[in-house]
Amino acid sequence: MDRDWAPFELHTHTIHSDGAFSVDELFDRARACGYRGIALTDHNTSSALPEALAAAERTGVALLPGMEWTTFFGHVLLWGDRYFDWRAAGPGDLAEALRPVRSHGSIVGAAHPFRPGNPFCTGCYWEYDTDWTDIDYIEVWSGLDPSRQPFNLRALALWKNLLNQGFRIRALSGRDWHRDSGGEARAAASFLSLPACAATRLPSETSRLAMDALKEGRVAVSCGPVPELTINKESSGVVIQVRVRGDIGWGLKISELTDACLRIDSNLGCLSESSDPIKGIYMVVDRPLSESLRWVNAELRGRISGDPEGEEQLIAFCNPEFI
Amino acid sequence: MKTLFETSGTLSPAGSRSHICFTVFLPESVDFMAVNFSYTPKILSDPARAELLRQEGEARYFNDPRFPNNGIRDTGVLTNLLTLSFDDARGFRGACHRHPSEQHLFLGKDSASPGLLPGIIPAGLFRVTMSVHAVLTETCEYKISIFQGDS
Repeated sequence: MDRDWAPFELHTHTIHSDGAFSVDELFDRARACGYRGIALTDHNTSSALPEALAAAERTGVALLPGMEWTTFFGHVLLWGDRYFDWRAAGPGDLAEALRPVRSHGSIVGAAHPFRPGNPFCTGCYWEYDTDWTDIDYIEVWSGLDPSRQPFNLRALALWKNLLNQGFRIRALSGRDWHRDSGGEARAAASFLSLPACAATRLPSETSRLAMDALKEGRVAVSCGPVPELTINKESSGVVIQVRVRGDIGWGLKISELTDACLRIDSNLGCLSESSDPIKGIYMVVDRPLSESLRWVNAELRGRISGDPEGEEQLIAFCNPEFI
Repeated sequence: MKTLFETSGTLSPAGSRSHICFTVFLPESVDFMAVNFSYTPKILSDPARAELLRQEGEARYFNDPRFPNNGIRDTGVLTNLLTLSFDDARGFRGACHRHPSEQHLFLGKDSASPGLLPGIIPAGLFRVTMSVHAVLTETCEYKISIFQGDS
């Protein structure tokens, strides 16, 4: 089945917590920004849900219900249609607090795990004694201009380290959208792989498909172009194909990149690196089955034309395929 | 307006990262309730103490030499943060996780302040939880008043 990559913003706030947007304003801004859908993750409450259902119908922007547990020991994103109490979790009790969440089928994410906490941002730093099998996603990119933030570099390293330890944990991007920043800083999005033609669907149907994509880990993180990974196990070995999808029509264009480099990463380290993915935008690697290959992902790096800093940075990456 | 509950108190930094619960008995159901909540000071205005807390925070959060803060410092105003959430005899009635240090909230049969869930407040135990996310100043005075009124 043909699939599209649909840009979603999975971490937003309204006046129902400490955001500046009314629910209607948030959905209007989301439509103007070209998001196919947004997750509503107000701090510690689900009270915006009735308004948000109406706003999704009005704007055509799909709604993923959710909330952000804003505790003293970390912020936990929950995507799902039910409220769960956030006040019970102490640093050693996260597994217990998440048990009803997980049995309901809500999806769990560790928000901005290395963002400095008190006294700067209360509870923002992840201090939970964590069984990472309880966590579906790490928000490895938080905020605007995410690839440059030191706390995101550290989150990315944590994620790769957990993958190498064998955890099947995924990564995503969240803008932590509270207000219009008015700056020029670049946003990234979480791109959800949805069946093609989803653009003509009702928001409620897109919402259901998006939750399925989130459950199945069909998410890529990018400022625009999306590296797409295909794995085929054949008798001779594992065939890994990557192509960069530059036709999504959201955010940074491939033509705005210089010195682009496409890289296939794995638990065995870098498997291949292309110095000119712009022309080919395609890479095939064949690895023997005897290797202890456990996970593979792809990332696109480069310089952004006209960027005053001009430094080489991570532009996009996909979630791993597990071998 | 009938006063259903009133309390005030003083917190110190040692009260940070705690939930303080007040449980109020409502002999009969309530159609509309107004809650006034305030705390002071909001801002840590002592520059020496603010700098000390910033340095302690930087040492705590940039503790991995592979990921230095590159000299970028968060020099924003440091503030106390207390928030309220509510539970009635049947369950959760919402939370107001926001920054103003003076809040006038309402909880009514047909509507409620953003963050709160509208509906009649049933007779029984009504719980107010004050979540003390951060007290950075030497002391912080808070006051909570709840009134029963007509919408």
